[in-house]
Amino acid sequence: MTAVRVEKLTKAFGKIVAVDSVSLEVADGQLAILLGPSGCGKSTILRCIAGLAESDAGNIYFDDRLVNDVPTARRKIGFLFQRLALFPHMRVFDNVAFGLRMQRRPKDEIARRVKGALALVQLPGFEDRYPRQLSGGQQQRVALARTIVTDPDILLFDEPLSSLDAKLRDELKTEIRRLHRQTGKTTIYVTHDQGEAFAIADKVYVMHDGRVEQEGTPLDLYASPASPFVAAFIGTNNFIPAVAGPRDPTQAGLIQVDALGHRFPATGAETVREGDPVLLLVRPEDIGVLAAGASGPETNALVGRIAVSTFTGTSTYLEVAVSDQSLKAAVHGPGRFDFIGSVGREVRLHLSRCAVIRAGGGA
Amino acid sequence: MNSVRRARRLGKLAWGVYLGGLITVLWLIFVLLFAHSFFEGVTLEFPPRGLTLANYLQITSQFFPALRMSLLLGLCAGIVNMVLTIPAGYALTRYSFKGQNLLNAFFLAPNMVPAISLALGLLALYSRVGMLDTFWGLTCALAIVTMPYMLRPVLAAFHDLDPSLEEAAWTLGAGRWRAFLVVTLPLIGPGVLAGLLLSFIIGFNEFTIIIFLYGPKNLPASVWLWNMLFMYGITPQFAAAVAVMQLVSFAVLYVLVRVIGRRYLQGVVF
Repeated sequence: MTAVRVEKLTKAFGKIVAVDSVSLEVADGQLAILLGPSGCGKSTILRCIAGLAESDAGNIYFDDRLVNDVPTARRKIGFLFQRLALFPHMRVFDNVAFGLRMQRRPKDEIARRVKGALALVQLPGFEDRYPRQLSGGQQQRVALARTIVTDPDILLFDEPLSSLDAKLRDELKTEIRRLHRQTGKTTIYVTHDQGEAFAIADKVYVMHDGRVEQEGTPLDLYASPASPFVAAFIGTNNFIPAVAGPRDPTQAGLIQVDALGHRFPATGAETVREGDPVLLLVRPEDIGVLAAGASGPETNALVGRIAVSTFTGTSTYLEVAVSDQSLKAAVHGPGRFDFIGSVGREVRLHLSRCAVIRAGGGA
Repeated sequence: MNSVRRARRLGKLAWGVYLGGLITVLWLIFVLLFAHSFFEGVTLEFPPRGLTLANYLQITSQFFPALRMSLLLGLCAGIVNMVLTIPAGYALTRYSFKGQNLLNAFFLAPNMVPAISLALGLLALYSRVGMLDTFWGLTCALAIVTMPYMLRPVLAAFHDLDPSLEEAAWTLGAGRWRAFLVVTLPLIGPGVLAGLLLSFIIGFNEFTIIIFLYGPKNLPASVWLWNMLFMYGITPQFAAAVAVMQLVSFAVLYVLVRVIGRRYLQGVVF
């Protein structure tokens, strides 16, 4: 088992700096996610860790071993490629056996381990097929089996699910999480899909323009984004211009914020001082929507008028005009039916879980 | 409704007649010479008389050594080309660098410049280093002429190949050489074979350059035919020799088209 440490990794392609002094620390057995939009440098980092790309500066350690100059073949990694890269001229068996043959394992051991790996990804009996005879999901499973069968120290996944449809993606997400629990291997997983990241991650690095914008657990990133970029990239958010008020002396970490003519208690941004311009963040799913006359909590309450109402089946999404702002709110659960075709109706909004970040910059 | 259908059928017929006519004109010359190889006589006569295989038997002793020389030259030129071209194709598709397009154009240029300039250049060079009338001298000359025909399908094959396949082999513990031999080479195989066969045909039939560089010890079939023509004119024996060369060429072309498919011949023979 192996921990991975990346120190100040930098890589440029011509004038474009793809990775700008990024440091990561993935503990032994952890599943870390590099999450970010395309072109943010996340795949480049993974390729550097695998030795498929050469860094311009910085160091990569497996445990305490510096691996900068170790060729890919000797890094003992498993790499799952975005385009799968199954060898089209080899049968499933030979694809999965490839790594074991490179290790010169005895024939019967190879046969046994290939069988075991195919059983693990729930594809027993597919040994004699060619990759082109398999569906997308099956190819994915073969690629996964080929990656894990050699028992590598570290698993590196480069957006392996991005080519699959949503249903299959969900299925394989669970599978990858299950495999990680079973094998306990250090895993670094690159994706641009926040849902995928949250479903499987112990730790997430959000990347933007070649830098790590924020690292933390899925809950950290969701509840206390450190920058407007993270707040916008992870899920949907309302950004409400506000002014910081006094800190709450009784509750550590809470700060009063003035917005929309009200005062809200919010979390986050330790460095914010009273009077600073800030952004108040509220998730649509953290806004309770009540009919105007209904009884409910009086704190953090706002009155507005519904401007847009979209019913998707599982939820109803509203845009509510509150003074000069438009707030997005999501109604899940049985109440969603009450707001179908509700444009123009007056409602009362109840904001819970407000967070605050500096306007225009990081925390 | 009916008239539309009739017009469409007439249109199809017109295209058929046009293409049929075109192909007939193109092939008439080949077919005429081919047909004459089966008739008696000392010159081409019309109408032909006396069906026979004697023409073929008469040329065996002189023509076959020349034919063998051409087959060997074509094959060796193809192999030399293959060894030189695969690494070139790899570098040209895997790496991007300044002046890449220009380099690409240069590699594909040899069959776009006048053949005579290449021939005279080689003649000047070979006469100095003593490579005139040598087997390897001719092989190298043919390798130069046929390189574009090799490089084009090889480049296409590399271009079609997902680079992550080779990378996958590395991550599974294969060294660079091993990965190339076990994964990359089999997958570019059809392109390489297409290039090999194309090089072979071009090298086998080449005349313009080799006429300057050949000698009595190394006499290829195309030059042998030329010499025959000068001495005896167009005879049924000459026709028989030409027919044999045509058959070899068509056989290779058939393999190319049927076995390898058109993907790797794009822009070369199609």
